Amino acid sequence: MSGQHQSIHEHPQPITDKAYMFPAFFNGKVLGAKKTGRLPAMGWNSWNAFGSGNTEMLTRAMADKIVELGLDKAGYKYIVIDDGCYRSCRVDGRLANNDVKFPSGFKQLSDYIHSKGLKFGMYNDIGIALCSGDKVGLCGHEDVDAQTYAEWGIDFIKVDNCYYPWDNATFSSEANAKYTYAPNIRSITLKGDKTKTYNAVKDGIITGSGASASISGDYVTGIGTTDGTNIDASPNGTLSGELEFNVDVLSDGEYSLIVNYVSGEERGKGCWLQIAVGDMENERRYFDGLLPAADDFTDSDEIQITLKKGINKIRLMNHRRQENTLISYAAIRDALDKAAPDNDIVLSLCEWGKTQPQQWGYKVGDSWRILNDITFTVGSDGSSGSASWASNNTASITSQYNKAVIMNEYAGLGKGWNDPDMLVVGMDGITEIMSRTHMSMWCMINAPLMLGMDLRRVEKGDNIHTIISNTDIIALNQDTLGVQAKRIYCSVEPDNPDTEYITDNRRVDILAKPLSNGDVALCFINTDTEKASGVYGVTVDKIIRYIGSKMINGSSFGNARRYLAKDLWTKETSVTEGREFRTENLGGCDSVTVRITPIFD
Amino acid sequence: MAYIDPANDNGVTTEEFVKIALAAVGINEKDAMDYAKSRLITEDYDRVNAEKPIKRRSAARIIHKILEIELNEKDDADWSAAERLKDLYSCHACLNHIAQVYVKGIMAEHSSCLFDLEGIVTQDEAADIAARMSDKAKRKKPERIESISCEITLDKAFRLLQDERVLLVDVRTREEYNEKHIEGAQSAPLEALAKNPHMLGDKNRTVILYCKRGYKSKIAADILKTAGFKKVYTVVMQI
Repeated sequence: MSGQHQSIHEHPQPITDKAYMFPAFFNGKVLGAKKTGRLPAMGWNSWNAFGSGNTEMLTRAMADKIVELGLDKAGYKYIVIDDGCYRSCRVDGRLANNDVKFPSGFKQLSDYIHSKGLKFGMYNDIGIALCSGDKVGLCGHEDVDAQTYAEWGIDFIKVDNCYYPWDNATFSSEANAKYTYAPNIRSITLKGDKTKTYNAVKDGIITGSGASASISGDYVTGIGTTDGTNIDASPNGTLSGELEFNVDVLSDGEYSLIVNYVSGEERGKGCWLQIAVGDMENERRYFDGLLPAADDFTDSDEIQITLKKGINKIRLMNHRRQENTLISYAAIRDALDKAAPDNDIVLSLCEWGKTQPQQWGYKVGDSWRILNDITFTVGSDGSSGSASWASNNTASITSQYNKAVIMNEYAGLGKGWNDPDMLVVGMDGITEIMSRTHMSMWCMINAPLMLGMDLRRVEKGDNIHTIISNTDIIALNQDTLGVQAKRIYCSVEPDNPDTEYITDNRRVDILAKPLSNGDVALCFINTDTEKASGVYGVTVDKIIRYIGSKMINGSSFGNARRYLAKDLWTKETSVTEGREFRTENLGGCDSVTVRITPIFD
Repeated sequence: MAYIDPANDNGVTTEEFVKIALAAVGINEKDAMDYAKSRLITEDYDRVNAEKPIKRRSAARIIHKILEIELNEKDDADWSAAERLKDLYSCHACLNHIAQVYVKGIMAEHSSCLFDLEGIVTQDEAADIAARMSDKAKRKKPERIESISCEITLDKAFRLLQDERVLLVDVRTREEYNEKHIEGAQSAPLEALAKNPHMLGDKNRTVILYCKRGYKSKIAADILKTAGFKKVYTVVMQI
């Protein structure tokens, strides 16, 4: 796995190992020593609760409360300190604690948390500085920082991508777009026995998404991978755009390719080109690098490629946004595994969905954020911060849910989990009903469950405690079958409820989750703030049609004479003689979650 | 990249700014940086950069912290006016600080719809900020930009489309679009827009919608307006 490490160079380095290339994203294989079989992480993270105002005192108090409230027994075990904890510069090249907020240092804090039977998590990023600007990013320091983290005894690390040198991520230069996009392409010329020029728009075929012909019709632009940070686009389908040419040659041999292009350093028009021959499954790459900058359309130098007699597919593309990011996170995974081979450190990817990590994140990480933050108005000591049910940006429960709910095929025990960000239970603006539905959603979709509030405000048995410690609901998230729920019904999408990206909240969803003992969990969700009058239901047949292949008893579930349904919030049980499970008149933001057990007598 | 105003490049240092900002709320400690550190107003980053010109995003953070910690001033619940800042989302950790100082009228955008997070704060700007921190009457809250949604003429549409950032969107079915459409138009069938109103991306972009008779495009315009698009026009096009 080592050898692809490239963080200290001026430009991204050549990729020599196919395991890091785009085609490998779809082979389901993890890299190196990455552990699989982990269920979603559960714990508490400081960011929503205290923002950069978190301190050692507050963290210890939270660890105390986790135990006092019995939340450790409910499964919450990782205490994660987020951004704002480090000294702003390295000391002798090493990470150091902020002496005002964490005066005793991280080893002491780690020991304290471990003494409570809990686990300790920290935060950093793949760039050269943290989002706060502190020059303590992991880039170029992976090995020494991993040693430091091992000394501190961390069990978990959340890593984002501020100041990343190879992408125009947060605070990275916008000019880094030169690495993440191909130049605009006007034509290619193939020289062999004959010379032929192929026009990008007329002769080329644009595949995937993100690339398009210019309005003038002269050239193709936007060749790269689409940015997944915002709520505009579906996380499914082909998320990169390529330009391909099918060329017909008379004989096997070496040919010269010249690309006519104009380069830039902006979104959609970059400077880095990859050229491959063949389909993704059996491609041979012939070029993977920066072209000389060109403000006007210019011919590249000749690039030698090998073609076979007949029709060959030549693909112009740029998958470096994903490949570079994978390599950077892999360097961290490698370094941690080397420095602390027995520590079983969980790696939580947090590049906000920018590089569509659902496609590759499983190779190195245990979960991957899918969007920008669920709230930007975090709390502090004395203030709860605030959050929303719905919004026109990423900052709301439904914004995160609407994307995560159709990403179930990316997640699993052999891979990792989609991460729709931390829980906002306990923040202003979130009612008890919203909290219950939020908790149900996160448990059904196998999200990491990270509490984000000041737990000193919680008493055993109060409403919040009841919600976050519901062991029946948590059991869905922690079910050992490890299958994220599928949306099998959506009131505004009859054809493809499981894959269609819907952000219009005026609807009812029904999710189905297969469980390890043969039960199925169903969750009926009203995403609207207005009441949903009417009856909503799914039949046994529909359940089997959508998730039967993932059930341990898919063939027999449908043969039960009756079904026992347990409401996991009211704890009421009922028996269904028929073959449909229904609910009606769901209140605004409300939900019903039932566990269905087939009865075979 | 730090912005240096060629006309006025006397950026104020972090230390100077902290002193000015604290003085604005009546705090005149001998060692302002030390005081701010102890009150958790500043971060360690500010200590390291005490003698460097302060960045606008750091200034926003420090102002916001002083309002919260020294004045107990609550956040404005509605920060939607800040969404017109194209660079608002470039830092998740700074977002709320920037949004609050902006909507409270303490720091304005640097240039058209850009806050300019990495730019420096000049002496004059620091003085203005101080005045607004101490005297709410001096704060210049940004005008609430109501979203525009109306029908426009073909002429106006073509004039707007000279700007390549303006989106021309065909809301008819995909089949109708594939058969024939206005050159340069993007396809976004009404049915698709209804399911995902956010699909057109950047909400600060001007959007011009067309269909066959104007009916679908009006419905689409309402959908986009609710989704937060600020300038949405419909036009009747002869296709």
